[in-house]
Amino acid sequence: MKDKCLQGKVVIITGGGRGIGYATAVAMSQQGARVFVADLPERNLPADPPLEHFSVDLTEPCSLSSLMDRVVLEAGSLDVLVNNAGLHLSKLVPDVTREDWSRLMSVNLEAVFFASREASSIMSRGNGGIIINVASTSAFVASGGQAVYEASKAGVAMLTRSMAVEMASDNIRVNAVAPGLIETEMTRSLFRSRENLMFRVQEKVPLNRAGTPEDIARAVVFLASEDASFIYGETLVVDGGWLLS
Amino acid sequence: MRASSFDRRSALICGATGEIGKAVAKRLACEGAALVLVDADELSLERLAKEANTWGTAVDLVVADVMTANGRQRLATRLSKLTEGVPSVLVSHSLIETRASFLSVQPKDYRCQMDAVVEATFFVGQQMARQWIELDSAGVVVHIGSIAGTVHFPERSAYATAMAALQGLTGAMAYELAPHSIRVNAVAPGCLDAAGNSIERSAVPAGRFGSADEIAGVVSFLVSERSSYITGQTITVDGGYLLQ
Repeated sequence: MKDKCLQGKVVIITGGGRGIGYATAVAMSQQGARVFVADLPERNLPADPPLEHFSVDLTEPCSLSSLMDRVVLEAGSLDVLVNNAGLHLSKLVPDVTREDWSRLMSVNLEAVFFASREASSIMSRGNGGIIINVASTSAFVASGGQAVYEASKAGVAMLTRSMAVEMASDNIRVNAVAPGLIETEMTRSLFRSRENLMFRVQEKVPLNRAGTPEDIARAVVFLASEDASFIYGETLVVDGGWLLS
Repeated sequence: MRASSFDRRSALICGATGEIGKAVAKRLACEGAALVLVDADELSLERLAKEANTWGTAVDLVVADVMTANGRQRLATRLSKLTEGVPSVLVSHSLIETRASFLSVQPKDYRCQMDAVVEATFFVGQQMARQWIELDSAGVVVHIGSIAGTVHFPERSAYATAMAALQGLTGAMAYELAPHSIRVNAVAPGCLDAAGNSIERSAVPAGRFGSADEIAGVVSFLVSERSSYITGQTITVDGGYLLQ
């Protein structure tokens, strides 16, 4: 048994500059992968572990496909794509503008689709590959005030299934993770304070703690590893039991 | 990371002599777990033990039919005498799969199926959880179910009923036991290489059947710290069969 389960794999992670994406980039790097982080130019990544940072605009179709071409040129292949980048929006339905809708959908759903389309075309020319989408428990429960976000994440969960069926014959496995309440910069600002977040955790999470970005990173590493070789189209819920009640 | 994931831990595997039980036992042994192998079939268990003795870990055998209260009592008595202490991992697997049309299932066949899957899993789980809580130690449970709890095959009504119940039990146990730091999840295999597989290979998006080792890989994840924030889930491992 190999100690490092992603040894030599070439990985692209969108939104890998902070939060869940960064933790995933670190975990995959620690498992032996060469990790390319696709994120906004202003993200400052620590020097260790060594991650390659490319600035992309996910709403711009050419931006990510040219990154993929560069990665293949430089690293020789693309083995794993993690579609992690996402935006959040808390607004009641009457307040949502068309611009809100388009902006969120373009990052949370369209970019997942088109990045996967590009990656699958590269992967199918080689030995196949793995695509992992970051959905959310919001794909399954409605909280009020998050209709657009929830619809986008439900879209990601279904897209995961649809792409898994289509791409399996090209030896591409597509799966997703659905994080619950994870403590990140994004959720702390969403709940306005850590206290509010922890109050919600005590109310809702049977394991009685907020998830960490590393909890999600470990699930992504698992889905990218040989241990998950017969799992296709699954959205793995990582929520401390939140959805159970 | 993986090599040391089982230091000072032992795993109790019910239904150890089936293909999946064996693969799980071998995988966890490779990761350093001591094993307590439970099965009603003494001969098969002894055969498995011969193999397991080459895996370089401590192996205890318990011949017990955990479908029955007597069998579970026997298991409890043995566990209380183990030098390794109470196992912190429980993997529950039933080897009974009733095949009969819905119109012809007899009450005794139905009861046997439900006892093998639901009663055994329920009360072995309860027994272990009580011990963990008493010892104030964390535990982790993995149920081996089947996609037959979700999608339906001919002549499997009793089996489907039991497997659907198992999903409910997984969630309910996870919910109640989470405050005690006990996690409970399930794996629902489908489309494995096995005689009597009623699924065509072409119906599996992966284009192949899976192996018991691929189930063991998922169990290994679920019993480890790698999944410490996952509880109450049933993970489908079927090459995409359920998606279509």
